[in-house]
Amino acid sequence: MIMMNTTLFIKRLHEESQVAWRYLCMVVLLLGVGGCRGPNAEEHEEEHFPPHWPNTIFEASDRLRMIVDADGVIESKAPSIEQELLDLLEWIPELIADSDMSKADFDSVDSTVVLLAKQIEKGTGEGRSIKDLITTPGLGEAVKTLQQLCETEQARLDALGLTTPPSEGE
Amino acid sequence: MEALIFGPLVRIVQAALAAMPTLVVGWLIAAIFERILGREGTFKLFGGRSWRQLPYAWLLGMLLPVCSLGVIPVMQQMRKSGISGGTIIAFGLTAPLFNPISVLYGLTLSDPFTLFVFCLGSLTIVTAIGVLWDWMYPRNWLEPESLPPTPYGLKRVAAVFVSMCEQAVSPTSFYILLGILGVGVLALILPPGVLQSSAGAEDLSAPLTMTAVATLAYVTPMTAIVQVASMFQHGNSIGASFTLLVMGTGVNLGLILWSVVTFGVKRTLAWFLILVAVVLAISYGVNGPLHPKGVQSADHTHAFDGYCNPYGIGSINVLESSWKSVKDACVGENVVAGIAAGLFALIGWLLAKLDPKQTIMSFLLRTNQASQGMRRDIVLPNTVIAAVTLVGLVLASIGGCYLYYPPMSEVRKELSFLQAELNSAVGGSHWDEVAFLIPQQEDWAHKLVVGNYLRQTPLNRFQEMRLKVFLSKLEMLEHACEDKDKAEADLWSKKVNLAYVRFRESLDGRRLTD
Repeated sequence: MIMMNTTLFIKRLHEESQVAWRYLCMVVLLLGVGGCRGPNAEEHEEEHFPPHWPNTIFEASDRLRMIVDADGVIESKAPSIEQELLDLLEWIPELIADSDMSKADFDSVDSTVVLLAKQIEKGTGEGRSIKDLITTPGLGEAVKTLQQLCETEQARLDALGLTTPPSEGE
Repeated sequence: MEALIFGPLVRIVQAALAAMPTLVVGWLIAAIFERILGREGTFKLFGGRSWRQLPYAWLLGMLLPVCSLGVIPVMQQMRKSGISGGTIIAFGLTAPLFNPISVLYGLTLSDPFTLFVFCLGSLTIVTAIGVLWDWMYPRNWLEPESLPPTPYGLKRVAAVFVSMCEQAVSPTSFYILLGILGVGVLALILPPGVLQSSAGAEDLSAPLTMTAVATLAYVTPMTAIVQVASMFQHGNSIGASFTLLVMGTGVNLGLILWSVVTFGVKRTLAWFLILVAVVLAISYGVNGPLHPKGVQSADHTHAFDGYCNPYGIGSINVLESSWKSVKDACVGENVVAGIAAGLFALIGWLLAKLDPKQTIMSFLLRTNQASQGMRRDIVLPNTVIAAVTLVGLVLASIGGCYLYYPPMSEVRKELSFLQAELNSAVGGSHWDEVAFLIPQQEDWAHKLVVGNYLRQTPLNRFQEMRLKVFLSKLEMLEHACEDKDKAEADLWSKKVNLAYVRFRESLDGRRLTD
């Protein structure tokens, strides 16, 4: 049955012209995508972690404090300082989850930073400058809360004899 | 040279095994259409000639668990039932895209709104194709062939079984075979890793490249949803992921050639070009708005590694690796369905050889009035049987979700076991084993999310974030192991362990240093 159908199919295909095969050839030609070398380990890290990625929540907290305190006069490894502020706020929940902080610590800042990130994103979309963005209501308080959390966590780790947080000491 | 032979062969075997469960379901649905619903019943099921044809085709396609190969025998039965060509194509393109299990999986991997937009996008596509195609080629249906009614009772069950065997050796199997061979052609022309940089978020040609590649590829609904979700998580091109879903899951070489023979080259080109145009329009439309927030866009992806040749020129131990890849693809349900498919094909072949006049089917279709009248059981009409079977298929796939996504306690055992295996594999620099274990670990992690969601105990945001950290470190470990960089792999292995312990403890409500 299958053999009969093969013959029928080939006959039909010839009758109908060879457009289908031409199409196949076009597909093959379209596949002229160059290069078959994948990125190496370092390139992977660069792709996953941009230059302004903070290694720990402690670094993120310090950097946020610096941006808010600098009143707009600060250099950034990100494409712009406004972008760095937005990225830091978006990354905070993940960075807390990558530390040994508790769920209560996480909950105390999570919803606030998510909301702030939305406001900062809207502001950057409207072309607001960093000087303007750091006056966003609630940002100063959120940065302060985060800093206190980090200080408390560092003190807790010190008391346990862990001079560096587990994520850094790996 | 070995790579050019065994690479495509491995991909063909992997695709064939992955297709088995949905292929058998396709034969079952085709047999139900033929022997229980009959031509008229199938015609009515798809809304007859009314405006309901296309929405029904989309809805039935969304619910029935078939793939783009299993759908071919179903489309053939629809054609014989006098259903319009536009509706058949609409069903054929939608049915493989989603099923209840893959939608559930997708819901937990990517933004639910995005999945909703993708579903809506698929409805737009099938409506556009169906309406335009039926308008361009009016009266494109066949007059339904007449079929004798199937008597009720055991004969009806046997007739469905025989019909399934006939489906397995029908001409549609030729197109199914071609569809699977298409995967081999892709692997033959695509060197390993060639598509890793083809789906960057900023790459405007990504949806176009994906259209060219995905047309030849065969992807099961589950694989597609995992690949699409992976692209979301890595911030790859959303347009390319939509193209992958529609073109990769919905279309394959066999389906296109079935259409060429059934409808002709011009008509096939017409629907295919409409499909490409609508898919590309939607892809470029959603590319920006649906791009996930807070995700560092990766310029590379491993989502398409499975379409390329697994081996490059000069790869060593190709034969050994091929054998291992095939063994890894032999997972439970695929093997069971493969054996069933083999049996259906064998019986179908024997029937064709030993009973060319179809006396067995004629016997099964013969109604014995005297004995039927004497029986005291309640006679259920064919429509009821068909409805129960089709709804049963949908319910079974929903029920299957609970088996596929086990409770958390079971998933945690698997995760812990795999984590220990992973540590050992990284420690011993067994890179092939690591490459096998990491996707499994990722899969179980996703199953934990879906399983908890199904059992009304979804993860809280803290647990979700801990899982995200674990998965991102697992990916970095994967990259380090791909590069066979021992020092880097050891470093990321430690980080993965710590992230895993933290995730586990977030599930218990404890923390590492308490």
